[in-house]
Amino acid sequence: MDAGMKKFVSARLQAQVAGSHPAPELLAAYAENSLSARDRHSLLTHLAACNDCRDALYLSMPEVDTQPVLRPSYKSPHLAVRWATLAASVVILGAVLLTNREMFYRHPQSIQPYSAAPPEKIAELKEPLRDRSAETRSPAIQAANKVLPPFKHMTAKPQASMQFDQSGEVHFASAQAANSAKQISGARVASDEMAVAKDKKAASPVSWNLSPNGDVQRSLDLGKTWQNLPVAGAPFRAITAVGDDIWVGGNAGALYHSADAGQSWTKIDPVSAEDITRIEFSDSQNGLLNTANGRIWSTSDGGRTWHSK
Amino acid sequence: MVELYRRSRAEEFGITAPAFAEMLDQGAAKSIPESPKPQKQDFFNRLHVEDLALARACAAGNERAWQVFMLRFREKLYDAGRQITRDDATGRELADSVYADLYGTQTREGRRQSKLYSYGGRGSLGGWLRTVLAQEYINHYRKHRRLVSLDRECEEGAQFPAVAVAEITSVDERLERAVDEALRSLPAEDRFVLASYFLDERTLAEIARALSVHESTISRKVEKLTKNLKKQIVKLLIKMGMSRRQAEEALDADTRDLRLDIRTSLAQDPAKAAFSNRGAKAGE
Repeated sequence: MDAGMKKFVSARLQAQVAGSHPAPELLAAYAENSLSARDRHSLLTHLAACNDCRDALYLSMPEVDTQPVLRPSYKSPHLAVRWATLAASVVILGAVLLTNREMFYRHPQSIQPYSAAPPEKIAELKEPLRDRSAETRSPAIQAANKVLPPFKHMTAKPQASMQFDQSGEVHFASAQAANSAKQISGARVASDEMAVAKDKKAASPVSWNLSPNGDVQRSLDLGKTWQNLPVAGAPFRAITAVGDDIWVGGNAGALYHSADAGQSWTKIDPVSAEDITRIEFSDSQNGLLNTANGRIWSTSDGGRTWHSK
Repeated sequence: MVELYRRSRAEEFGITAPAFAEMLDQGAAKSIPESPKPQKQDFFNRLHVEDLALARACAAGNERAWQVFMLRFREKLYDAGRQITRDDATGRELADSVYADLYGTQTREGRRQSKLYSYGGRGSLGGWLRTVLAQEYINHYRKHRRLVSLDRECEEGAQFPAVAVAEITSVDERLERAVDEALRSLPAEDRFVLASYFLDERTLAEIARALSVHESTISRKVEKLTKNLKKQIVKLLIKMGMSRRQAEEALDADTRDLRLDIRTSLAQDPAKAAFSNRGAKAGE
């Protein structure tokens, strides 16, 4: 902000009329995230205009450990996904390079100088092929069990009708085998489509919230309507959802978890006797919670154990 | 109510169930007057009833309650005093002065006037004590320090400092109105962020903690707010008859043109205690 504008805005903020000061317990309840939305709004309105109350609020907030914690990446799931994607790419690239190196080393060994093999050797080599062609009773199983050579060595993409044996030789499969390969391919496409549908279903707009009374609420229509879910231990003060995993926390350290989108709930052993004011999970295993005394607890095993930061 | 009474452990401190129920009703009547029964029940469920029973028992002079209070809060109070004042001796002095208020050094109609009577259980007792300490510090210590004696000023070489004279205004009133209107249109939380960041010069981390969000969220919010605020003010000034160039020049005006010297304004009147008993009562 320009210096001039900053001064103008500051002057006008300073000139605001604050009204009577709130009771200390309201400031304390605000700092502990335990005010209702209405009380919070009216308190913030006062705080925006009252220098003394802002000072009191900032001074009365408990000190927390200022050691760097993983909050930024934790707080930003998109950033975490980006980093995870980058890490996965590096791992895949590394694996591909390693495989290639191995093949490059192996490739010269596999190139044998051409020499005419004796007729009996050729017959011996052809024998197993005949045996395998006789075992085509279950082409689907055979197709699934075959070991494909690395594609890097091929000048053309493999076709559905091609079959490979352990020696790396290419054989053209019978029409039946080709059909079964197509069936497998079709089945894979169908299963992929089902997975996408399942993903779409999973990504349906389910929203979670706490009512002003501290009850757990679920919305299936982007927050237009909410339904209360009965959860023992209500009222709650904090809620978070990661996929089907829902976590709620409340007074005196009450902490509940649902792994099936709210169908059933499990009480977690108390992390702390203090009120839980905030919960956040970056995935089903890693999460943080804040207690009213300003402490931060973290878990990396889906809430089985918690450690103070 | 029976469950709340059991949870509060009020019986241990000699508070009977009817007295406990009356205590809760008084709190509800003060905080959510004329509310329907379900809303009252919800209000009761959210109260820190154990802390409330302890505070009321202490205020009534129950020895056992004071033992528990000292065990739970004595060290915390000193720690909080040290943290607020950033000085060991001053912190202890501050905590001791609050102890005196909590115990009640004055009596009215034969009853000790303990500050603990004003605790209603909406926040935790620990949080309430920290807030009371902070308010006491603001009221007394910090402002008292501003009243530096003439002798001390002479010792420090700041003799006869010139009296700050308020600048004579040359600010276009339209600018003030535009800024006021733009600020009024903001949500309370945004005004709180602006006041904390620009007026109080709080860090992003402090503001983030006060709003229970991440520091980066506040950083983005401040950036977005200032940008939008400037746009809004310019728009309002144009609406009030200025050209765009005039509006932008008015905003970039030299700080000498300001009606208020902000730093002088921020130094509040030390004679007026911000959290006087009267003020606190009004807010309760």
